[in-house]
Amino acid sequence: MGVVTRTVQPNDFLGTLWALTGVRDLAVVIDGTAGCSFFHMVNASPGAREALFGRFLTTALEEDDVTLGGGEEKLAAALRAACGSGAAAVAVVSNPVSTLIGLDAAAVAARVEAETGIPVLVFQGGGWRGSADDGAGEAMLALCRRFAAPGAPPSGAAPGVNLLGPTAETFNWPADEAELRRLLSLLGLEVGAVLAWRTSTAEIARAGTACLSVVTHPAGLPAARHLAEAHGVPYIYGLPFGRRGTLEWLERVAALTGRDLPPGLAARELASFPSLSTLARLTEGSHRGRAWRVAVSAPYPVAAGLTRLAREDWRLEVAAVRLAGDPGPAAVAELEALGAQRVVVDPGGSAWREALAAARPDILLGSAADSALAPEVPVHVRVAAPAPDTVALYDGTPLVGWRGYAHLTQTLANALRRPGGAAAPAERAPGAVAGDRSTARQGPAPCC
Amino acid sequence: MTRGATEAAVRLSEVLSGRQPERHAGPVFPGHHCGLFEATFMAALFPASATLVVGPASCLYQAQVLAARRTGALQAAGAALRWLPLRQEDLALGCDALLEEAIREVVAECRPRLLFVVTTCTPEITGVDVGAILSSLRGTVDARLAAVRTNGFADLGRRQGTKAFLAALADIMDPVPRRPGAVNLLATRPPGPGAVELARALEEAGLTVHAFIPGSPPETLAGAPAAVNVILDAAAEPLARAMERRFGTPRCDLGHRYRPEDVGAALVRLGDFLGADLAPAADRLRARTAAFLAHARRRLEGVPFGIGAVEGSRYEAAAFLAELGMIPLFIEGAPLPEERPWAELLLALGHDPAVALPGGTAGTARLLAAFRPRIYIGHAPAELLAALGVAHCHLNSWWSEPAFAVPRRAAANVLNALAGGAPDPEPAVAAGRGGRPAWAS
Repeated sequence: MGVVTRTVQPNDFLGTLWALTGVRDLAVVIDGTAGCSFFHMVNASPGAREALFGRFLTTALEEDDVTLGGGEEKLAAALRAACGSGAAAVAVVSNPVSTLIGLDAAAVAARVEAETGIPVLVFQGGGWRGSADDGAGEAMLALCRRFAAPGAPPSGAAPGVNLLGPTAETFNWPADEAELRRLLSLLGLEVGAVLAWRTSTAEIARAGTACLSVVTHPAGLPAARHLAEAHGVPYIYGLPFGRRGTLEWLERVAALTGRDLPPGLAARELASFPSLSTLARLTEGSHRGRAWRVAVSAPYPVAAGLTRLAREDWRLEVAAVRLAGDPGPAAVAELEALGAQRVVVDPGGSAWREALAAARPDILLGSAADSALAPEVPVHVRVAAPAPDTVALYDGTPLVGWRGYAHLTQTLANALRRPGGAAAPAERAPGAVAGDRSTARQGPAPCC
Repeated sequence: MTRGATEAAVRLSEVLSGRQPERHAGPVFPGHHCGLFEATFMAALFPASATLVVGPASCLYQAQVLAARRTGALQAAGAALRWLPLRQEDLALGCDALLEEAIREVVAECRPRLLFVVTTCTPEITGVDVGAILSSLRGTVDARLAAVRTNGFADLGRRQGTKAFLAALADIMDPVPRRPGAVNLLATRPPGPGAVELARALEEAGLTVHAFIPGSPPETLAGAPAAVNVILDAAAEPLARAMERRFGTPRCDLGHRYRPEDVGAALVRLGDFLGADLAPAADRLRARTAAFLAHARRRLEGVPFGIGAVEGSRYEAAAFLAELGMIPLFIEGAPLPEERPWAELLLALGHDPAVALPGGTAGTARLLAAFRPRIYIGHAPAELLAALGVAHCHLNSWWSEPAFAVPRRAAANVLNALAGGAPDPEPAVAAGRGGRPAWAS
């Protein structure tokens, strides 16, 4: 394996920033050179950008600060400005330069916190400590440790469910959050704190009074464990995907929260989508009945849910699954048990590229970076970040839940129905690359 | 985090009398972009090239996302981007061997004819000598090698990444005999219709265009010292100077002029320098430009504007727009000594705009809220401008549009922005107009 990569996974510095972007009353000082702050603004996904202005600052270290010192004074000035901005709390996030030159952000933060009385959280991973999940996880844990208070929910309030794991850059989160809220409401449950997106320190303060935490992405696990240990809030790790998968997820939530699942719920929910009984019915004509092969690349809970959906509901082969971060051997074993023929844990992308070349999938459920690695795959469906080619602002296009199942099935069927959508492996000439139309045999449509 | 909007601003007349606006001090957001930001754009513009970016994963990830928005341009030019993510221990223990391995790997995989190696803040701080590494590799790998050193802590706001990327090209050039009558056009973007117009004017005067930089293929770039350099964009000047130093290549600055009379004079001066008569072409293009600007003036008369960073001089741009009847309310940045004539022209036209040093987006926001122009020209977040109901415009194009195309493009962009339209022509339209010249293929 080489040292050069075709795609890059985000590091802890970015994960921390993405998590903190989602806390409305938190001012954030990015300590270091301003380029990181500029990139954070420029590349922020639609919906996240407006959350930055008026809340984010940079110390904008320059050459003298780097070579001669002086960064501490700039950081102190930035922290004082942030503390005086009306924010409930302040966070300082060290960038790779700041950590490399050894700027002691923690000492400066402690001094300013003592002066102002405003809580100052410090994140000094600097991009060297691990993955974006590690950074976001550290931020969510720190927020819960600092602000989540024990006790009962406010009088008269419905029991809250924490959603732990999403950040400002989680793909399709507005729609997925809407569907999760809807599903939980079917059990009479409301969503409490969402760490960390469009939340506040006041909401996080109530996270310890929730009746359940749902860990939607790996970054939410440390906070969920803390809330369980410190405040007795149970948690489940996983998302509802597909027909049966969504029902089982709701059954687990109901069991953990002492709720009753309304009888006949799944049948009622799916009554509007009778044609979803088989993907083949939606892909009638020349594609009907083909054995498409699927590859999935997404964070663990999404990858697991989609693998199950593809196997159980679409009845397709899952040729390969990629997890960018290492979720541990249990997760790999679970994916294999769900029917994934090969599971690759590969942040760099080279092993994943080789796996895709060997698996020759017809459908790639993944990010734009995955598509760049395997442009020869005929059908690409976005299910993960980075997705700079996709706007995901509308909250009516979820991936999770029953509505997510309907939306995903419709999206995939449309892609397959388009001319040249996907040629089945059997249709390709020996040695041809998937998607090479010049070598694919265009035979007559099989009869129904 | 907020301050009064206008307290730090002073009138232009006061600035010309010696009073300086107060410089914003203290924390900012988002601050200046780093050299890598510009280098990411430049990487897409060189056919048959690959670019290897070296730095922490966060820098590379952000550049990757930025580049993904330019996938079409990357594919069209046949350029590839590859990444060498560094760990902290790579920087502590040295990464020369790693970098050498990475370069060999990219050459083997992508088979580029030209490879750029771009550094970022952390390898620059720790003293990774990418120039020396490339020198040791030349002749052992099958690609021309260019070191692009960028950072985010020095030369900020001075187009460091673009300058470094272009200047690095001197490393891949060969000493070749001079070709009489041949010129290189040095820009920062691929040639657009305006560049084609200029090239035709040069060819009508008996000159030939050898290379358009960026845009020409590596072999053409390698032979660029055979031709005289015509600088269309100030960011290409370091390359021209490097070529002058290394190969004795003469250079002449056409500049990025907004006022048609200044463009015409610069063209005639260029003709004198090159020994060609460009006056007839200048007259013809000036007349064509004047007709368009007369049309624009009817719609721009009385429109108030604020102006920040633009290509070329913001004071010349402001004077040009004021001559079209627009009203300058504020200008970000005090005039440089060489900009004084345009500042005085603004006063002579009856305008005395505020001059401020806002120090970033928050400062620009305060100016916009205080002065409420109908249009802002420069860099500012779209969300901010939309919230204030201020139209937004850049005066340039994604394409190189030099000479008389500068005032036409600027006026057209303002008109389009006020009408809510797209500022730039579609690439297909731009490329299709007049065909694709040989030096751009």
